[in-house]
Amino acid sequence: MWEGRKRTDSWDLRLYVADTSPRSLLAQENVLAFCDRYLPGMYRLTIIDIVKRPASACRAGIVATPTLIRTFPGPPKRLIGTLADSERVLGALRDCTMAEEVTSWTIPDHAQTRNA
Amino acid sequence: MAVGRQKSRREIPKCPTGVTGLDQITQGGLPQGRPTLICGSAGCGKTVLAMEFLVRGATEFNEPGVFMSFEESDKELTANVGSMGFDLNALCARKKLYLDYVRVERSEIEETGEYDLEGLFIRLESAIRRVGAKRVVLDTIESLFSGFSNSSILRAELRRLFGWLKTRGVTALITAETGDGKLTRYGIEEYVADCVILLDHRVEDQNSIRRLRVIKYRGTGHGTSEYPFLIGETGFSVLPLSSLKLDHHASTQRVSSGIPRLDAMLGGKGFFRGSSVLVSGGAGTGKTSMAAQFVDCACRRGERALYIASEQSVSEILRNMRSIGLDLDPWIKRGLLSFHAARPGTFGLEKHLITVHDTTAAFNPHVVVIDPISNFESVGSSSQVKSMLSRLIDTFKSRQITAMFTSLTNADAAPESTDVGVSSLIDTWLLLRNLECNGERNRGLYVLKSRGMAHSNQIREFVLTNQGVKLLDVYVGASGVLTGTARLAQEARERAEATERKERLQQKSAELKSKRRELEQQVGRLQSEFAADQHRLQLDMQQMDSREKQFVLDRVEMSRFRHADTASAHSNGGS
Repeated sequence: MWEGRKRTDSWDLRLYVADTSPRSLLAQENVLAFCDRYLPGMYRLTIIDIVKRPASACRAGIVATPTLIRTFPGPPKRLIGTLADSERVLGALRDCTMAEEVTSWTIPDHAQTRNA
Repeated sequence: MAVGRQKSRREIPKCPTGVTGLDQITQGGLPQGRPTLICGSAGCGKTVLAMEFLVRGATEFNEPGVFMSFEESDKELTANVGSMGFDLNALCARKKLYLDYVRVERSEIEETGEYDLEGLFIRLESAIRRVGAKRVVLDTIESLFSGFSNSSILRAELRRLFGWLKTRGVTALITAETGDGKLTRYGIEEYVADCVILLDHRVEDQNSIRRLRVIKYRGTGHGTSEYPFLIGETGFSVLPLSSLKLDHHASTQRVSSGIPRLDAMLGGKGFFRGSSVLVSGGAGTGKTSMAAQFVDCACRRGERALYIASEQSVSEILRNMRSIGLDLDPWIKRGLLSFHAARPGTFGLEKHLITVHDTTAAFNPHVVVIDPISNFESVGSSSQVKSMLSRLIDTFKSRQITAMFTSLTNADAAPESTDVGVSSLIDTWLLLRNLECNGERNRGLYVLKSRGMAHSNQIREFVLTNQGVKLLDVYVGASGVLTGTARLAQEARERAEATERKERLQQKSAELKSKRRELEQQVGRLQSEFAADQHRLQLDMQQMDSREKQFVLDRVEMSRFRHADTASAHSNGGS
């Protein structure tokens, strides 16, 4: 588990993956890259392996993997896939109640997230 | 070449559904350990069938199940099927059933790259493990297509899922909605190829008809026609006609018709137990009265009777029967008589069929009356009504229930034709006719046919008296059958004639007596005359006799004299 600096208004992100398939690893990389880029120190990321913990998968209603769920801030967002489509990821996560607090929501030209 | 080839007809293993009729059509149930596809338009009853498959699996075959729903939540499902007597909460508590609601909402999901549906697999696996499930339902798996946009991923995953289900060894039921002209909207029938069942719900002539058809079933024979089904109070019911074989046992026991003289007309003892009886006739000929008397007699014997009325209400029938001296109330109170009244138009034919079937199964009567069957024509075509009736008759025969049907025939039509053409299904046919003569109409009854027994061919007059239905003799006079007042007149005439004959006889006998006396007198007279004559003759004869004697004496005397004389003459000097 990676933890940024704990703040009361940390973003709560949960990534559900199925074991250590290439897709899972890719998703993990991408989410970390995103978090480091846009939410330094403002996030709390939990990675859950649904093969090992099926109960939490059922509780969270996971159907597709990998799935990234943002529980805080609202509204709750569910992103499925490897998170390789950075535009969509940005577009989805930008929709939140704390948009102003995050630095520069644009994708810089040099920092591209890894595609596979 | 293949000399030693064995003809082994090994059926594939099947999983019985417990649904009435479905196991018969599929000859055992759904393919065990394989997925079956149920498709149909919205509101066809796919979810009900799937749920019943699981519930019966859990309660009747001890096979726990998992219901993975993509459309309705657990609460909704429980509420919806609760009306059919399926208590899902109890089953879940006993770990016989597990409901999993998988919510897939496209607006909440962002697709950001490649993904798979491993989450679904994990959930399913954990659910199966939780209750040790042998049966799984996925309802409706096509919801996934509306949730996720990448259909190629979806198809690949579905193929993987069905393969996984097969290796897992669970019997799976997949529901899907029919697309335009296709079996399913997204074509998943390619992946579920072992067994496909189509449910249909249409409206014909303002009647809603539900039909089920097994489109394909690999590895086994199955009924291929469309079978009507119903979703009733006990769940799904399919009633296939072809599966009911003609192997009823024929009883030799006899059941009274309730009218002793009618029993006499039927070989002396009445109907065969388990036979079907049709009482047909025009309006007002007394069919309901006959049926009521039949039922009354059965209850008197202590047997249970079920009366299905499709035209009159129960209280109407009771009131009308009281007017002919039949009080059916005590039988109802004692639980021997059960009424079921509903107009045919209220439901479709299948609903009637299944209702009668269920009521019969629950009440278990020995005798059933359906009064009348002719108005079922209003809810179906003749062939549909005939098919329904033959299924009913089959049901009754297989339970050895003696069934009586009444039917109204048109006044114009020939009495031997019935509107629904069921005469070939009937064992005993009683015809009630109105016999018109001398300005009045009277009721007549005759036995048109009665299989398996000698029956009378006489037309009997049929009266509704204060003591119920009675049969009288009918006089056949010069002008034909005489009934009613003509009969009374004829009876009076015959009585008068009989009296006349008697009188004449008496008169003749008196005459004879007097003649005899006369003759006797004559004879007496003749006899006395004869005696007198005889006496006279005797006297005459005596007289003659004595005269003869005297004559002889005289002659002798004379000759003596002469002799003497001669002697003296000689002495005198001969002259």
